[in-house]
Amino acid sequence: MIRLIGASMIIFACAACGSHMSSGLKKRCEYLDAYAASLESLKAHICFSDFPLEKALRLAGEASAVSDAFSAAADAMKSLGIKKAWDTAVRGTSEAFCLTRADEDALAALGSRLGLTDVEDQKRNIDGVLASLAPLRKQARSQYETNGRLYRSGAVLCGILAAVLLI
Amino acid sequence: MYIATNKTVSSSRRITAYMPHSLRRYMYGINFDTAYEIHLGVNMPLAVYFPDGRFFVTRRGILTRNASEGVTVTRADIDGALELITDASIYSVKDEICGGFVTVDGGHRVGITGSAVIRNGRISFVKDISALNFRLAAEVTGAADNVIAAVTDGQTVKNTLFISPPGAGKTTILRDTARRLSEAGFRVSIADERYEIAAMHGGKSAFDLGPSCDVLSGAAKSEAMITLLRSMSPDVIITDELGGDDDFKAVEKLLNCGVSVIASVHGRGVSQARSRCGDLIKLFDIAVVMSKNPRVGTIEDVALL
Repeated sequence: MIRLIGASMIIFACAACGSHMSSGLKKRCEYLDAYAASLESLKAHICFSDFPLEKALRLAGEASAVSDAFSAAADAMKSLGIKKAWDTAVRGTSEAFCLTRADEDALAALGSRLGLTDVEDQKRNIDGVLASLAPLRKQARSQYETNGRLYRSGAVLCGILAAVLLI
Repeated sequence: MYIATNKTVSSSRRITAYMPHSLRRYMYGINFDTAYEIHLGVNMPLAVYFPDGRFFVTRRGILTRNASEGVTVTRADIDGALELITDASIYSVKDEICGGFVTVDGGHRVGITGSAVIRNGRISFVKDISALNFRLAAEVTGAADNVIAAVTDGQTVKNTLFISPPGAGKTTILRDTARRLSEAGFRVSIADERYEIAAMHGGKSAFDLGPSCDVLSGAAKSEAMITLLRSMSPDVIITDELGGDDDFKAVEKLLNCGVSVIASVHGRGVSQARSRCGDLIKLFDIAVVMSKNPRVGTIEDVALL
């Protein structure tokens, strides 16, 4: 009986581990998509509504999965300056959003000119970040599609194997 | 510098909030209460203008008349200040930048120079910004004390033209006149083309304009006066520096509609103003001639027109 309980615990632990790794890939896809949507919204608030950057950031992040990053940048922009505030906000939330270093760098590039040029350049800046984010989103999706299921089922199989060997 | 006849309200010290951190640390110990301008230029010493002359801020945080001892302003300082002035939203104040200045909280105006980008024969943006000139606003409550009796008898407001050379205090007296009339129960509207009278920022004025004063900023004064007439049902419209034919046509229209007008015009006296305005000066009931001597805001004459 104890062996059965132990075996099931091993299988459960391995499955949970695989599921966690798979959900990390899924989260990365979701958060990158949320960033892209919020950046499109930010572009609209800057280029068409002409809102000041702080308000534009808050509105762009509103009801988004990445609202923490946008509101953190809006909160800190007066004390740190927008470049540092955006950089800190992106890098400070990247672990929670399961982003890679490449994702962080692509997003952080937005801060260099954010708010500090005319509307046309703001549009170019945001479009440039969205363009550099596009292959990363594609890569994240394909990684999830190929590796996500592999992690989940592989982990369960590993658990079963370990349980069989131990029994 | 304006010498208050009653009470001077100065918020000049808040200007340090718009200075980049790299310069702010030298400015904490300096009293800006009587300063009227702060000039930041790339590779130039940080200059502060007081009534008794120009001073430079040193690395020890004190003032000197020696330019070589002043802290040198860098490109990064200008960019940092610009970010603070515009709340990191240069795109949203593009029109103001093209107009040469941005108004910040407290009513201060920041003049901006750099390389103009011309599109369709007009300035579409200013890039490579090289200098910022902070003109510090100071409210002089009581500046209109000596003229208010001539402007109104409590029942009606006379059409009044303030005449003076630049820097004699026309705008300050117009602002205080607006406050006094507003407090006296008149519905006052201000056509503030260059954000000088009310210095609106974020939808509110940095100055006390009384309980019933509406402001339309940024629009050409001739258009603004007509818009205010249609939209706000004012008893009196106040505007600054009449110049073009359109301005006088708008004034004529207001007077025909029974609205009083208080305005200002550059000149050294009634005769000079008459040569500038022609017969249109007769639209006004009285002229208040001002001068800088012996001090800013001096009323030289109140004449019937």
